[in-house]
Amino acid sequence: MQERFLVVLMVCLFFAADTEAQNIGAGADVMYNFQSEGFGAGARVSIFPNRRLSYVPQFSYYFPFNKVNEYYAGLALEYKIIRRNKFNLYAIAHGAYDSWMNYKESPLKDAKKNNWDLEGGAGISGTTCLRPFLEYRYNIKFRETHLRLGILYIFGCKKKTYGFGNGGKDKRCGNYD
Amino acid sequence: MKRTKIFFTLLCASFVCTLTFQFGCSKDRIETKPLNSYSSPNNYLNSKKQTEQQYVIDSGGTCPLTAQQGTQLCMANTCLKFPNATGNDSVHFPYTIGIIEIYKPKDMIYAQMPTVASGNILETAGEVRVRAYKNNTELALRPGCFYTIKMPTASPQNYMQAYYGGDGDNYSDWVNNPGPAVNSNFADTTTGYYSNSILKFGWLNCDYNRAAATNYNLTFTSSTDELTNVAIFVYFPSTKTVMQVFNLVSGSIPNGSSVKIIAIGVKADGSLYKFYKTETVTASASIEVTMESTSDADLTTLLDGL
Repeated sequence: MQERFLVVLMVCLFFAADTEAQNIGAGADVMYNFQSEGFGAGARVSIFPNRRLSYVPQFSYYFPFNKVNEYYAGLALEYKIIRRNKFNLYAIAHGAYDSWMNYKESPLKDAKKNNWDLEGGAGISGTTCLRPFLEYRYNIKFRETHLRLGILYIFGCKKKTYGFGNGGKDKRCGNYD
Repeated sequence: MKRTKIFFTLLCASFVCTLTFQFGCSKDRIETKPLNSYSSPNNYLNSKKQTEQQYVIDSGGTCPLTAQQGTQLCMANTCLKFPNATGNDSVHFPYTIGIIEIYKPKDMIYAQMPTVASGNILETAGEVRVRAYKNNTELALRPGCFYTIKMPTASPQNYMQAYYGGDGDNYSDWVNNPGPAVNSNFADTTTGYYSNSILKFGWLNCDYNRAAATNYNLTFTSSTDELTNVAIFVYFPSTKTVMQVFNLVSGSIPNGSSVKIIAIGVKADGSLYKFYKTETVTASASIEVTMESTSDADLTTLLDGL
């Protein structure tokens, strides 16, 4: 599994090499799972962040001080339903491998370390070179929801602006297809 | 127009999020679900158990008395005495004979009358309780006197013996041959019956000790149900043995026994729950019990089919 994830990362780096094309973004996020009551952090690469459909390999880790200590490595598809000058609204489908490290401590029947999960959700993001995003997702396997807040940097973006409402069209990241 | 689209998209997303959060989520990974709890099953079981049949015996009565399930009794009124009588005070007609017949495993379960003696399983041909009354006073047999009994059976065996229990409604350990004056072996000379002469009123069991050299125990656990008030039985079809489980650990089960496990739970509102499992016991094991909803009719059918 880890080897596969490395392959995905290599592909991402390949795309990232052409930074002028704005085909790659990279970012980090923090998250809170409402049901497992766990805090986590994650990292992601966004491939074609300005297109309607983006491919987002990502890694998430829920810290050991939580009741659930686990990490996810997976790939999300982000489909932008609404694209505006200042923000995008998008739907998310995410498939991931989940390594649940402390599954033995769980009261869940048939809990196990290695799991495959599917998530669905929605998000909103900015449109600038350094764009914040907020996502709400539902994990079908464990029937849990979580909220994640992060920021994504678009490689090759000329106008390095920050956040929403900071000036409108002229500060939007270029190469928007 | 654009704002309307955004508004409705956000509205729909909020609606889906709310529904998901409220109804689709689970804390199963971190929270232990409360176990299903049950009330005592005694009221239900007592409502289903065989009741005492009472027959008034008068001077014109003939022997034998045949009870509902075929048990035949004969006793003379001259063999009866009041419990504290020291002389030859006679018990005059009419008097009453009371009998409870328990031949089916279902009835042993309902009555919570297992066929286990001193921890050893008993092969059984049936349990009966015989008593006599005069004006609501319970009578006893005079010393040296007996009543005769024939217990119906399809295929009598020559090794079956008399085991004796208490006088009350509840199970007390079966004892083989409690006194020198009590006959032990049942005769099988009469086709279709076990016959014997019995010198003591109360519970009587036609049995044979099936103790084995190697025995195992079953332990009952549940991650879904609180088993404290659940009635658990282990049934041995080959010997018609009923074992009741106390404190969630079975008695000694001979190596290789094929058993049927039945658990009965009654919730506070009277609804019935059951657990059923077949098992061949070749080692001590833990049985995970998950109770499921049932009805009186379904449970009766299950117990009839044991």
